[in-house]
Amino acid sequence: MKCQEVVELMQRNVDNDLTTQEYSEMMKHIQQCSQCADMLQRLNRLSNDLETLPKVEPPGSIVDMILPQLQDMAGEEKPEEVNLTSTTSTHHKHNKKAKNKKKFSARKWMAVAGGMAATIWISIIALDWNELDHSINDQVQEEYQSEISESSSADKMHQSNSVNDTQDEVETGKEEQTQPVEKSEMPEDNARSMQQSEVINKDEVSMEFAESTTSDEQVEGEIEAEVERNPETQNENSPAEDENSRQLSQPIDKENSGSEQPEVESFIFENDVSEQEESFAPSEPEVLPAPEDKSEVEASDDVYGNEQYVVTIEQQNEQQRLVISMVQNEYNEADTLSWKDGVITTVQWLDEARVSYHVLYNEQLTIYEYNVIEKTEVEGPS
Amino acid sequence: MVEPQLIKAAQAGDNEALVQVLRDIESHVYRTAYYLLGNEQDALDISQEALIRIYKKITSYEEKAQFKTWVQRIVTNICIDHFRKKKTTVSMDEHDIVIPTENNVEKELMQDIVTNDVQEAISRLPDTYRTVIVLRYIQDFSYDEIANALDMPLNTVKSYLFRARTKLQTLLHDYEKGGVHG
Repeated sequence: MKCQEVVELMQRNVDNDLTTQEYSEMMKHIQQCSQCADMLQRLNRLSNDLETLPKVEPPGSIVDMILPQLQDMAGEEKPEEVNLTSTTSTHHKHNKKAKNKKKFSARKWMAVAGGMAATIWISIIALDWNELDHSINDQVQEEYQSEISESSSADKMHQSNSVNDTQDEVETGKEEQTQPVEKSEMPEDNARSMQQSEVINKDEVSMEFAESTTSDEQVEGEIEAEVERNPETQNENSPAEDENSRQLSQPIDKENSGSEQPEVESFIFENDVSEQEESFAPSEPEVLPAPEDKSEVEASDDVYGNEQYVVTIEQQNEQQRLVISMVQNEYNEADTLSWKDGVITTVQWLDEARVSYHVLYNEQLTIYEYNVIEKTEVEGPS
Repeated sequence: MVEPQLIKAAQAGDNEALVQVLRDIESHVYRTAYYLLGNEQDALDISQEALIRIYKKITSYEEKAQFKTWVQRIVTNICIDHFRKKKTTVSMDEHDIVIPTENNVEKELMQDIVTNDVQEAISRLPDTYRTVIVLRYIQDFSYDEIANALDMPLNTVKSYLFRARTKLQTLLHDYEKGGVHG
């Protein structure tokens, strides 16, 4: 057996990795080779020294040191849940406003519908009264004409006076008085038609109200008109609405059973654009491009990522850390680039593997490019 | 050794169990960080970071890996990243790590023994060699466990370990001759 082969056996021996036969072969060579025997002795001593290295303990409980941070994290739950909670609370806030808006709008539409119904009803009544007046006039004239014809042999002066008096009475009744009287004396047909008119009008009113509260068509028509009047408003709000609809649509559907939601959205859009902007302020997506604004970077737990990696800027003990971790990773290990005095100002993915970040240190800006696959870093071009 | 039931409880959302898990592993985490970084303060900082990361990521641990190798993988990765990122902090070239010699409680306790030289020699090893040595002797890991923790092939682990010991022998031999300390 050559010395080189025995060296490997010696190495494995200190790790207790030899079989009995291998151990015997090694010892046989050692007994014949003093150089290898010395080497074995030194190796065993080294291994013994390494095994007896002191089991150092931290000066205090590290967990106790970070317990406040852990409690904060426990209070916030997991980041995903925090996002979910905040999203949900935003949704609740928005939804509450939406509900208030809806109530207000419903009342408004009720009033409008009621007013329209009343107008229609009054106009129909007026129309009916006109018709009634005409029919009464016709009827009275017919009665008097028949009376006249029946009493043709009577005193023509008296008859004409009577007719004139009667006509005067009818005209007087028409002009001044007698709607109640005439109403009470209303012919059956007219009364029936009046009732039918009322019924029809009530149906129209209820239909009008129903449409105003549940139908989207009318509201959407209003919205379209509003949007046409304010194209800028549409442009300003569409992205926000899209953003939120992407993030919030599912919870909204779950919580509101879906039927009234489009109407709620429509009402908000129609009635109060500024309030909608406030409640629909676009939330930060989880994966962001590099920010231009330094203040965005300085905020803790900023996250910038591509499809495979996520970069998080953490602030800890006056030290900024750029933590680069894979989105899907069995061990969830991460590359951590720590800066004690420098300030990380910009983070930007150059491609799928290279992330660029700027560090401001002593008023000097340096750009670094870190390759997450090769785990190498170079100072990038300025 | 952390009880599997405790880990499961922690993964299920039991915060007290999770804190207890961290208490059970904090010494192991600190030891690795201490021997890899070579000083108490950096070891404390990295240990804190590692424990926080374990706290955050506990749900992603899967039983197919040993918990202790999962923990050590996190610690060693943070340490290795720390080696890379020392531009604005301290110069930590892999052959230029200096273990502090003042106000160090551990050092005062170990001054009389040869371990100081061994620690010094360990600190002068390349990162990868130092890491396998620490896992082998400080964490008492087997080849397989080191391979799992560092995501390395088994033969690579053996190769690094053998070379690391050879390098340590050379360094310690130089110490005996007084060649290193001068």
